[in-house]
Amino acid sequence: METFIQIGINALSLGAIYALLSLGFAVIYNTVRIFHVLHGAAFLIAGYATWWLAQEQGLPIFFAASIAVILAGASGIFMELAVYRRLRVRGAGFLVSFLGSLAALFFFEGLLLTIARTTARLPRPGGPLPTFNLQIEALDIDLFIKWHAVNTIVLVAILVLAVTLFFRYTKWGRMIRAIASNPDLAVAVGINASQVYLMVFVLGSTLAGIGGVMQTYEGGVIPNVGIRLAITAAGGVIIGGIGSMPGAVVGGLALGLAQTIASYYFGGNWAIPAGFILLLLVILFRPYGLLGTREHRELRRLL
Amino acid sequence: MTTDAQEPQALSDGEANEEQTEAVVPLEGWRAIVTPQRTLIAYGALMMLALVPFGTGHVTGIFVTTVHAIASIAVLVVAALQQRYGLGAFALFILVLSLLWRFELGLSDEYMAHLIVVASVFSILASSLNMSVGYTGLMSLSHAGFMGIGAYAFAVLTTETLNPPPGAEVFNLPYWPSIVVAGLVASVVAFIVSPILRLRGHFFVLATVTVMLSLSQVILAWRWMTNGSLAIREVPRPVIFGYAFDTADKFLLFSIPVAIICIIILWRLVESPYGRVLTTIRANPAVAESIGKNVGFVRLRVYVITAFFAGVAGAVYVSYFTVAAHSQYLVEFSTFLLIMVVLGGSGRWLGAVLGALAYVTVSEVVRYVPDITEWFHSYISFFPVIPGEKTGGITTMTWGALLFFLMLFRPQGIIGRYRLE
Repeated sequence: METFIQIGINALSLGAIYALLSLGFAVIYNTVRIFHVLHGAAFLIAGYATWWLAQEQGLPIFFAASIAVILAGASGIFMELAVYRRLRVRGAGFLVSFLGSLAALFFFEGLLLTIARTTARLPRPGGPLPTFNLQIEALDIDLFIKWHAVNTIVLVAILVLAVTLFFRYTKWGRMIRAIASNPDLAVAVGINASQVYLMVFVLGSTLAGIGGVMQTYEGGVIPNVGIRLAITAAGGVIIGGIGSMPGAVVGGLALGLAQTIASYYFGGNWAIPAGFILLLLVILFRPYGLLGTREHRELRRLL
Repeated sequence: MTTDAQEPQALSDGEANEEQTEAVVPLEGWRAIVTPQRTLIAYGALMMLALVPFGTGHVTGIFVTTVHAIASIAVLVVAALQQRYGLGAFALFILVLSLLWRFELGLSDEYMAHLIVVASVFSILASSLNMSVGYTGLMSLSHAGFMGIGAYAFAVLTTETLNPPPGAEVFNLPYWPSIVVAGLVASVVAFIVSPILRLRGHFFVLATVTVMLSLSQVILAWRWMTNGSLAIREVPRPVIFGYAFDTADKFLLFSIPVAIICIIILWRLVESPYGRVLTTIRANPAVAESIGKNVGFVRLRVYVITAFFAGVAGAVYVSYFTVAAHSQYLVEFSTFLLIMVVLGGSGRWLGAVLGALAYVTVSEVVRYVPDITEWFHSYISFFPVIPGEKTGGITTMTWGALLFFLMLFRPQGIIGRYRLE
């Protein structure tokens, strides 16, 4: 029972970060239909900014984290304007946009590698992460659980709720959904597509940035994982179902769960292959993803 | 001649796009005879004439560089006369660089041989990836994984396995069968992961990256077979009829013919009716299906065949380096292979070879960046000096910037047949 809870908490907290990544990716992908490999960069920006502000400049962590998240969101604007808009104006399609995104990610990672130290890790006052002791006599449980893990889970749950409410009840949310489901009609009705694209990138990158902050606080980030992050995000989207936002969250959680279980039973090396096996199984047996539906337009183009 | 009005710049650079292939708009005059491919083949043949005696030690590197200078000037002249800017730029780059290296920066003979071997192995890899990406539209970032599988398979087959668990066989196979078996092992792995071929577009790319990462991890984790994060050492170099190809110069006599054979096989595969099927699948799978081609099977076959060549290339690579290490086969390398294909020009079988050459040369140039920044720094003290150990980051940055500008201004690469869309 103990191990069950331990694995569960670890899986949920990892899955929560993945869910943030996937949700951000899904928001961008559903609207702009670009494989946004640069998504990992938003994560890294937030992570490094948090580290730099807190460690080098000595800001209190909360402020450092907030500024970092805002920076990540701002970087989303930069990505859309400097990378994707420029390519789109020249008539770029899927492949060229993807390669351009990859190129920008490479450039960014190289830049980070050159100007910064390789690992960004936050100082933790008082040593290791504070934990609390969970004791339930009846079930014979005596565990130390990191507060950080619980914080992550709660924060992500709140964020997912907030995003869902945003999409359902605010004007901007509806505009984004309009462009996502029928771009031509939305533009004909008078919605400004460029503005919506920018909003979407800001939103997605902010979500990724929050994930980055949480991850930096826990274990640090290195620049080389940019591609891996984008892959994780996209993997979560596929597993959960392309085109479905709750699917992205579920997919991220599922990925986190698979990786945690694999790490526990087979060793840390098997985390990524486990993710792959999960992806493969989902493709084979539920090609539309766990929560995807046949009706979604996107799927007819891709499967 | 009235055809001038129709399509005077049919295949000059900047106009290359999918509709205007050579079959639709026939070339005229000498442009039809001296095509970029033939120019490059002539260049290659001239270089072979210089490299063979170089490999056996009869001729110095200076001779090779001189021949190279003459050959690239010829290509440059042809490109200039035909207004093929991409090819011209490449020839100019190679010419200037090789002269600079040899006479100013002091490239030694052994290092030149080393670069040539590496370039030839990369040509095999890039050409096979070109068959997958450029012709069939399968953007696979798992190629380095298959290379790694081939490399490790070869290493395991030709050395004595370290610490095998009781009951396992100890291999020690001879050289040539091992290369072929290594390629086959890579193909089998490709077959095993082939369900991902069901995905299209972005998600296929994602799946191939996941495959790549997984293969990487499998290599790390299968400790008794692959020695984990330590490397397999003492992988043998070939010995044919008693002639040991043990130094770099001699090894290039081995790797270049192997590369040429592989590239010719790939050429016959893609510049053929089968190749037309592949390009149709890339352009419009629905059309391919409607004329009766089983798209799924064809993609599977392409994926498996290209994995075979990647495995063979990996085997040759590991034979040269005599060490099979996990760090050589990572995702970044897969992306560099893709960059080679895109840079050289997808859809032309020689484009990949050009891309491989370009990659090797640019990577070497980047190594001089710390020296260049120091030189600048001595004049302008504001200028930052980039220390030597940051070269990895600079390389990645350079390739990122290069690829981005390529996508912006010249998506078809150096001699691409069609503009990537």
